[in-house]
Amino acid sequence: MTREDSTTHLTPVVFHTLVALADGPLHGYAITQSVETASEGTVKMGPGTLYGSLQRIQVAGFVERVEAPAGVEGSHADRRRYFEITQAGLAALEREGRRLASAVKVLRSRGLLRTGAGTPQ
Amino acid sequence: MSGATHRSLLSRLLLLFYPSPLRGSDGDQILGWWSERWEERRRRSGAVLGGVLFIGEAFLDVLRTRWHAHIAEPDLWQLHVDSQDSRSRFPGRVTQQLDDLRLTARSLMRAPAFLVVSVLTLATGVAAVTMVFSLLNSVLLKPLPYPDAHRIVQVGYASQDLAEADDLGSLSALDFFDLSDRSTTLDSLAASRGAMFTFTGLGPMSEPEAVFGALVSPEFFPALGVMPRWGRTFSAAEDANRAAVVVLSYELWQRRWQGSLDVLDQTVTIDQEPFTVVGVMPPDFRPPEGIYQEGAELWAPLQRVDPELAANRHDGFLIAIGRMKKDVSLEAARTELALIGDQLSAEYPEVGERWFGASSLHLQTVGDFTRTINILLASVGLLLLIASVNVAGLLLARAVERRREFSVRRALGARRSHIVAQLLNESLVLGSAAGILGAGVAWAGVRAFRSAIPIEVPRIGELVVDQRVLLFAMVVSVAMAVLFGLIPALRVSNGRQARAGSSVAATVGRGVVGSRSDERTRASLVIAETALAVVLVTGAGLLISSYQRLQEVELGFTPDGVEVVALTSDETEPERLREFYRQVLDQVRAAPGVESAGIASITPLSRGRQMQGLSFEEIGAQTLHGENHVYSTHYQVATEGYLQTLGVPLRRGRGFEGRDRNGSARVALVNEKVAGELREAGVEPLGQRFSLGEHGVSDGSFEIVGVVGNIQQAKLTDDAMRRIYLHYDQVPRERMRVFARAASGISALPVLRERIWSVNADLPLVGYELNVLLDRALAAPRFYMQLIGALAAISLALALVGVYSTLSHGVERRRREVGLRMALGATERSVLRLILRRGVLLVGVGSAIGLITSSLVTHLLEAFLFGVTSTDPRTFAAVAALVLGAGVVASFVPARRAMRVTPAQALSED
Repeated sequence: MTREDSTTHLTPVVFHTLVALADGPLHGYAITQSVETASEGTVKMGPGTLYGSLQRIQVAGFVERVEAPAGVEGSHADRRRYFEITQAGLAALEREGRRLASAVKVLRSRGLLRTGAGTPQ
Repeated sequence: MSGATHRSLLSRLLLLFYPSPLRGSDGDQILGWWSERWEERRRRSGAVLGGVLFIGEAFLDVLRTRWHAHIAEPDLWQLHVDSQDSRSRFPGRVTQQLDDLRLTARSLMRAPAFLVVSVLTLATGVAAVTMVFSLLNSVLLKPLPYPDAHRIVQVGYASQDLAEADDLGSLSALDFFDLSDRSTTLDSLAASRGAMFTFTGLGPMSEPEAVFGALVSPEFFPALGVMPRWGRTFSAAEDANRAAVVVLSYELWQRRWQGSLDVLDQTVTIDQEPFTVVGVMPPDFRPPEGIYQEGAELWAPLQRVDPELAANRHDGFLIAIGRMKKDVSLEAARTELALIGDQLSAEYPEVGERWFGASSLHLQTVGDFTRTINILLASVGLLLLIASVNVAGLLLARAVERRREFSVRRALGARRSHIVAQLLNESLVLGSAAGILGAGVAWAGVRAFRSAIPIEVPRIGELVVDQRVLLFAMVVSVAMAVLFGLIPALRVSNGRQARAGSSVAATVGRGVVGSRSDERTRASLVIAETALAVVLVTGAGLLISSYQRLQEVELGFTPDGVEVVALTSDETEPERLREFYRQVLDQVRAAPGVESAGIASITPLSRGRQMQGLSFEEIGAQTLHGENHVYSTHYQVATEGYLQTLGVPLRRGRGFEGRDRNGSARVALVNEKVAGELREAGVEPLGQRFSLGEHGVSDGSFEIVGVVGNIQQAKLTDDAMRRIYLHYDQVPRERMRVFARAASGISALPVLRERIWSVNADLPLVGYELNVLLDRALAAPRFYMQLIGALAAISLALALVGVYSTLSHGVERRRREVGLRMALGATERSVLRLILRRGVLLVGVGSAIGLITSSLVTHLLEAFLFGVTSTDPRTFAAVAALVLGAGVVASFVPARRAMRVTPAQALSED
């Protein structure tokens, strides 16, 4: 068993990587761009962080390598490796979502969260 | 092609810093990622800024990856490492590396001179680069200090040409109101008009004070996303009712009311009228500098503007800012504004066709300062390179001295990589020390610089050395040390010489310090250094030449001893205005120590500018310089005595005299430029009549009675411009400046203020010497000249130290040869010549390369030059002579040392 099980939370990089892949297979650089856009620049990832995490979550069975989608061209097309999220990955995301939701609930009930904060924009 | 090769070499080097397991499995992916990133960075931010961001990001990613792999979660990373590879046990390796670093530090401490010189050299470069980077960081990289600042845009009239989309003109009031009604992409579109406000009546102790502020529409504060610290801003209803309410800046409130909250809802006297203070802004609120060049300290409702202005579609006087709605792009906002422009052009054809545009407020604030920063960055970058090359030379010399040690270690089975690692460790320690020192110097430098900088820098108040800047200093320092440490490390650890030439024993025994090829490497380093230094020296030379040219500019007037007091009368009635300034002039003329005095509406070398369209009766407008409707010229209003006080010569006809009065014949003076153009059109200027059109200057015709000399009115670099002078009594104004020439060496300013206050004690007065303006006009070019000059001097000195130490080293190595030559009858002179020739050769080749490079890059400086071309041959020749001369001096000491070698000594040493 790896450490990416239901008892631990996902790191921000892993979390955002999985979210980015939830829309369909992407290559490494496209994952970075998608994460930077989605997180409005708050999550930064260079290639070391990215490929390090990808290795780990591949071993955990959350993502797997796939063939490049048909029709992709361009100067970098030959080199790019594509990744796809697995059922286990989607399940991990859902677990993380529930974990966060319950954390928010606890904070709310104790009045520790100001109004508005924590609601998705 | 070669660029691509270099890049791939660099990125391979970058890859080396990643943990090896990751490098093995994903190396090609990481390389590919970086090459895509580079393309994006360059596309978005250009090569220079993009490069800086790229390097910073690379460093951070390596650090972060290593942190995770070694310290935070080594066990996770171990999952994918070949379990057989025991070398990858990270915690063990970390301890070992720490041990290595300790050893390195100890070995460096044993060579204190080397340590001090190389750390200081590198720190100099790092400090310079870091200071400029802090400027870049706070001016260009950081968003403006408002929430979601990227959504704030400035809106105005734009050119139809999309390439000039960022040049915006001020809006007319009616167009602004229509825009704010119709726009759906912009939230809270607000307008502002800068204005001067005069405070009076705060007890007998306070002088009246004029304060820059603005009339703004109520959406102004929401558009910027700022709230007052105390009280409130004004409402739409107050704006519509032209209510006399003001919001104060924190500084004004502190200065005039010592931070007392009693002022809220109290009445203060501004421009002789009671105003209610409704709010005070927070201390960190910075009014947008792109809008208020002079700053702004108080805000009142926009509708208080002159009702005539507020109700027309012709006069552009409003600067508008708006906040783009979330998810609206600048392109979308521009498209919508263009559409509204088409609608309004169609609805009001009498006003003519017009286009609206938007541009980010950040860009409008920073303006073309980007160009200055790029020049500065390039200059300090060169200095850093030179410093690094210098350190590489020092490291090489040290490594060569230790060749014996390395040979022994290799003979005993040490791997080449161990020796390289040891030398790189030294670079790492050097780089870190220099980084800390350089960052410290930069930190102190920026603090000094912020208050003392003589040029206008946007957002200077926000200039700080923050974490990003400190990180940058460390990254640059370590990166340079490691990169340039590679050269000697690879050279010395190279086993080829030992294998090919001699046995270990022979190497150990040889009394020779370094080989011929080491010396070649050092020579190339020195040549590179000299070439880089020459580029900086050439840039400095060009700036010095321009500065000399600027100082030689004919002003057309004599500023020495002239003092100026700016004031605005509170009278509005023309007859009373005439009377007021008549009294002021009489008082000033009667003041002790004042030799002559006059009044005018504009100060030379100030930013003040008044334009006027004329039509000449005799020729009509069309024939004169093909102007469309009217002959457009600068003009100003003056009394008799003004031109004499400034020492502007009268060329023909007469100047203003006592008989020129309201009601007498209207008279005008023109400068030589206008007179020349009239004569070109076949008209005698004297006696020629013209009439004025717009802007409150009364119509009717004026007669030219005199021609006066041209003066540099706005900037030293401008060509002579058309200018006419009208008599004050015939076109009275509220805002004027009193000019007085004081008797030798005594400041008349206190007397002048007293005299003017004797006419009206409630007027704020601003007094200064005219020479201050001349000094200010020269300040920026002088600053660039001194800055680049200092950088050039440091880099030249570093290069010469390189030349000196390389030659000294060569002389040491060739003692035997020199001794032998002398034993065989060579004279001291010929030995001297031998060494000097070598020094001159090094410097000469370096200078040649440097001058060629300069001729390719100095055009970047063109915007900063005046009166010289960027490839000015005289400057280039002077630089070559200077650098060669300095090279000879630097070679002289080692050459003399060689000359003193006695054959017996040299030959007996082995």
